[in-house]
Amino acid sequence: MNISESQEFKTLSKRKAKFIVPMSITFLVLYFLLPLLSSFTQVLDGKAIGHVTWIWIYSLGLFIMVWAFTVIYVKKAATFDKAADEINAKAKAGDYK
Amino acid sequence: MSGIGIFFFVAIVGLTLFVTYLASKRNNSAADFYTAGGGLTGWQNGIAIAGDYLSAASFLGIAGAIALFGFDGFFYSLGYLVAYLVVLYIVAEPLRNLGKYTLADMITARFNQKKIRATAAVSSIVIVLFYMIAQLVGAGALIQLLLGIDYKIAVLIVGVMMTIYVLWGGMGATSWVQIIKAVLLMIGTVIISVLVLAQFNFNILDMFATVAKDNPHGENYLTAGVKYTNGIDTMSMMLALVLGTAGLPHILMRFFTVKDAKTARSSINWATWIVGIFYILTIFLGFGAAAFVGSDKILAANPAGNMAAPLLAQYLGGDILMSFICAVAFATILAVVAGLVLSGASAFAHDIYGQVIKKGKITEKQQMAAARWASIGVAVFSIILALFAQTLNVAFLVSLAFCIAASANLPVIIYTIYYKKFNTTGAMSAMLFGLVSALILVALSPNIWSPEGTAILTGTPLFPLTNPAIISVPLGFLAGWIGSMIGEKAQARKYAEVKVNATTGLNVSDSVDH
Repeated sequence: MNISESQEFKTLSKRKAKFIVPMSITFLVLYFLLPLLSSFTQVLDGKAIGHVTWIWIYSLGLFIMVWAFTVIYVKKAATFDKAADEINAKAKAGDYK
Repeated sequence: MSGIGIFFFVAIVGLTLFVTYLASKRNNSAADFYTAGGGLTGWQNGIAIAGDYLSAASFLGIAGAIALFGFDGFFYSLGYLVAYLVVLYIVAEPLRNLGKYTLADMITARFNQKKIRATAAVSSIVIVLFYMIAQLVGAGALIQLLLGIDYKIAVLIVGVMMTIYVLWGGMGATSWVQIIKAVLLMIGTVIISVLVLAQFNFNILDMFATVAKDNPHGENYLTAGVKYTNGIDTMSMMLALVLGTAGLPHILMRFFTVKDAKTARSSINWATWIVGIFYILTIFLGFGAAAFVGSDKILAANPAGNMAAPLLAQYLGGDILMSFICAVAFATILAVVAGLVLSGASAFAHDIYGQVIKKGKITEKQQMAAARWASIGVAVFSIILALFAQTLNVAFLVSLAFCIAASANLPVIIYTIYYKKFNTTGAMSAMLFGLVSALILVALSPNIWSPEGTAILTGTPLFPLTNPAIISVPLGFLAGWIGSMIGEKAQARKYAEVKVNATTGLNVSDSVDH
């Protein structure tokens, strides 16, 4: 059979989708929540610490989110690498049509 | 500006020219010219990406916007930063695994048709032009302010210099120019930030408190809504900023300068950290300028606030620090512009000329020559446009480039990688609808029209938003989907091939050792 129909490829694709889709939705929602809240509500306008308003705290949260999500991605992608390398090795050995 | 200013200016420019000269010696093939031979390591490319990203808009524009408007200026930092996650999670690796030199190459992995190539190339060129004009306008204003040269002459100088860079060095030179520039930019920004904090005895809360009191907007400075009063317009702009990067041809090209997806991922990692730290530091730049330079002086130097950072440098460190910062800003603009010229030139030479006009019957040497001529063409055209664009706001032009990238390029990229039923009609529709709708809506927007004549033309804008992303982006995606439904059936085998390559990197094109 060809690669795209093989079990190992299908598994890899599914694993990737199960990771990428929820994570992407998450960070996009968290990102858009900020201008939504700031434009249409007063939730972020109050002061949190001293003169620092909540919107700055939320922004700091977004920075942490970006760094965290980057680290998570790099770690997770390394595991996908292993599976992909195995498929490529099989392909080069001529195991697929 | 004193002799020190001239000295630093010449020194940094001389350094970059020297690097260009070194790189040009290794510039032997089309592969080398376009993509630095695909051999940059992860951290090298990561710093180069960061360098590309931190353009005049980031450094000068955001510092000025935060200085003048408080949190509203910071929206740019947030948008640009989260955009990286979009690139990382959704497009970076599949792109590298599929593509060769340009965006059109990647798209035509699935649809090998001339019209797709040509349309993708046109879209890329339009984006590049807007971005270029923005950088040149910024450079012109900067040089004009610092060295007292006339704006038009300043633009000409910048234009000629960047053309020289590209012609002699290709991507290799611009990569190393980007790396040097990124390092200098970070050093300069860190120095200023530390000095600003020192003024407040390293008490961040104190800084916030002072800034809230001493500015024309009062307490509102620290909340959103000072400049962006229309909620929908804000959402639209945030949409353009976060999605635009993934569709920017000159950034995406950076992924082709590494040898595999793993290295591409590592370079993104590096870039994210560097860029993230930079954008946090913009807070100190902006607040510092607001507190120590003041809105009046900032606005007097440039009505868009672009000179806030250099003026702050002058307050903190006198002429020496100011000229260092200005030289870095200038190198910043030069490097980005060189990358842009390359992007536009390759779109023309490789796609339109090499594939469409010459139908692929073209030697390496011919392609190189075409790329060089195209570089000159792109450069000359944007210089001419920039000469007349002096009154246009730099940040506006850049966010427009982002809007077009998000509306025309991104839908096609995402559908090509992930959508089984995507076909030629879908691709054409997405690109055309995205591009044209964005351009038309901007032409009808308050950026161009104003009842009081404060924009370019006098009259009532027919479209109320300053950034049309919230309409043009969904339109691009929708057109791609509907076009796929009504066009001829997609080739299942082709998609299977694309899917395998994108996922496993099986057929990654060979790269040259850097």
